[in-house]
Amino acid sequence: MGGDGTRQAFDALFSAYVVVTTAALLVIGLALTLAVLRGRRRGSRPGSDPSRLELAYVGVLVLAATALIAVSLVTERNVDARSATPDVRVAAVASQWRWSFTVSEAGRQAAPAADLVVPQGATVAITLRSTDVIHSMWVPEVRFKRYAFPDRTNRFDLEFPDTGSFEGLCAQFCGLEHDTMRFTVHVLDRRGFDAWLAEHGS
Amino acid sequence: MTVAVLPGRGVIGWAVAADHKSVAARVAAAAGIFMVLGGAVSLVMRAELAHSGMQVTFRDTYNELFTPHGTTMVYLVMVPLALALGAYLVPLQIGAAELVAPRVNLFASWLLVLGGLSIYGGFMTAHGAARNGWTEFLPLSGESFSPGPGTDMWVIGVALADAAAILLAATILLTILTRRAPGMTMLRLPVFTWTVLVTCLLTLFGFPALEAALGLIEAQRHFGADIDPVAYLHLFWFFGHPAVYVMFFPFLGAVAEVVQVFSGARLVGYRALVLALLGFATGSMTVWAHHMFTTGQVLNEYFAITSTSLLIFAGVEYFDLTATLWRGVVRFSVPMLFALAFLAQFAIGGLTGVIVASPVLDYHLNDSYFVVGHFHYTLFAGSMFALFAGVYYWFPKVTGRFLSERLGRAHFWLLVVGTNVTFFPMFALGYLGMTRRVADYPERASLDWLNAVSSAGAAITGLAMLVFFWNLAVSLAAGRAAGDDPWGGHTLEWATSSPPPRHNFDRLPPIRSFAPLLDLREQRR
Repeated sequence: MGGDGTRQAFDALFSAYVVVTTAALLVIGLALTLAVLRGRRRGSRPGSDPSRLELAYVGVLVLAATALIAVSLVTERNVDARSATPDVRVAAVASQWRWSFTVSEAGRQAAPAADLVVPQGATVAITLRSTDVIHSMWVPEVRFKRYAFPDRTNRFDLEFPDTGSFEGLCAQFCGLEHDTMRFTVHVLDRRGFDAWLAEHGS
Repeated sequence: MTVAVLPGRGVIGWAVAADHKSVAARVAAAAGIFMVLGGAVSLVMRAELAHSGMQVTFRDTYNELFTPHGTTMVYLVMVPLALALGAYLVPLQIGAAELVAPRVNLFASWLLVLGGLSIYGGFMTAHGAARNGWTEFLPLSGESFSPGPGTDMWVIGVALADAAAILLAATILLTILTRRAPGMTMLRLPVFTWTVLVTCLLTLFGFPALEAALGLIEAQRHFGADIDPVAYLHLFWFFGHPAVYVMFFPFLGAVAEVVQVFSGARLVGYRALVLALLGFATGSMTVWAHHMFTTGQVLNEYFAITSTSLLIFAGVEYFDLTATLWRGVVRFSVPMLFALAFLAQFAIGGLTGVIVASPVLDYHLNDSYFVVGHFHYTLFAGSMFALFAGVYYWFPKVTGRFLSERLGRAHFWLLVVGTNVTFFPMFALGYLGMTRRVADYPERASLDWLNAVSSAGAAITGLAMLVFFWNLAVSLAAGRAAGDDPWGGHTLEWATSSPPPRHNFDRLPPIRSFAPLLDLREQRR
């Protein structure tokens, strides 16, 4: 993850999309309303098809689609980028119905824990896998989720801009207790994280 | 013993009739019954979700509810209804006496019923019914994580329903290609028939992949095969994405017919619309892995480009239908109310679809209630409303009677309120972090009140459906007589009696455009 973190990337892109789609919805609603009311006032009038207008309109749609795709792909390139030199590494393992996180930094490694502890603002490189079925690790606070597969590893970088405790959950249905498969992300400031790693690390 | 191509008498005669109208009626009746089951199940789910904590069901029961809900609505209701509309109306719209291969259609209609019985039969087995959602991903659906015959009966049932869809799509497609009346060229096919044509293409290209995916589940369960979960995902969604358009196009076609007839105008941009349909169908075969943006295993960029591009084809359809309304004078009969609501509400489903077609946005919204809201706006607020537009429009043709306009209006307004109150809060719920397929969620004020609103909406929706089925019952028994062409139709089905005779037409009017009856009226004027 380069630059601003997944949350800012999502929020900026989502705002743009909400503006565009809301505008489109208003245009559709307005066009439908006018089309319905106009005929009722003026009566039916057969005529030739507005082919040129339609062609111009298709041009607008192509431009809109192109713009949305472009801004999406540029954002995705940022979000999917992985740092060669992350600050903190986390090995995340999902199992029915619990999580295990092993946090390490600069040769120090904490014992596996059910909750995730990370430092604020650092680049956190996560490797994610599952021991049984497909799960999905979701942290709504940073607007990011990713599947956990039993036979392959997913790697991604996250950045947590604010300190605090945030909920994490399994997003992919994984059996009976799927909805209880939750964890907490504790984002500590640098001093707090160092103290935590000193206490729990080896 | 002869298999009756002619509709026979009594229950058995009806059950073995192979003519296209009997087949379609039988498929629609089965789908209607399954719709009641799948809908009832969703009301129990909404009752459980109305408040945090477990009040109504147990976790295990809840999982046994959302699985038949999705399974039923996709495999046993919307896909069969899409094809049943086609099976009934396509021969009538193209001036044919019958679908090709009537006995194949008879067979398909019973495959569907057997499939449904197998899926629901799972409830009577020791470990209960399948409970991993309508997608049954591996390895969760494998032998060690889902023991017992319930999952096998689900696999068999879905395989049968899928086969039924493939057979019906094949015969309907062949009928369009080979049984058109003299003068009915491809570019004079009514728009509804075009939508069914692309639906059949998608079914034939996409649905066999589901049989393969189901085969993988059974290979794992009974022969211990080691299946790559990502391979299953690809096969499943290679079926699953075309399938959502199978559950959309014929209903869009119904709306297109209703919009033309109830605005009394010839469709604007017929050729553009046909081209857009073909482009839409082609494009929809290239988007399947947008369901896999968060797997980290596909080239997201490619699927973002193809998925977002679909808005161009959808935009053309909206343009042509809006321009048709603009050209005509709108009559607000019940079919038109449903058609207009479809256009407004499906726009919400489509535009939220543009949002989740962006990989980074999907990283947050995938597998959340945002997605649940999105596809219910397309399938329920969209396709179901369009289906009702079609049902109120064609019921007089099928039965010779009108559905009650008064009950129809009650049904319509209750359904508009119920649908939007149920599904709109789901966008916020997903954004706030509520996962789909959960029996429970954390006790938090925002989640609690949004879920309560959604559940209240579900109750209103249920009431609306009761009004509809009541309307169906009283109108079948004693509806107002409709005559052959009560609405001033444009297409050939309105040139024959209601209900149509066994061979559909005693004689055909000349066919010089996609709206032959409108041509006749304009000539007379």
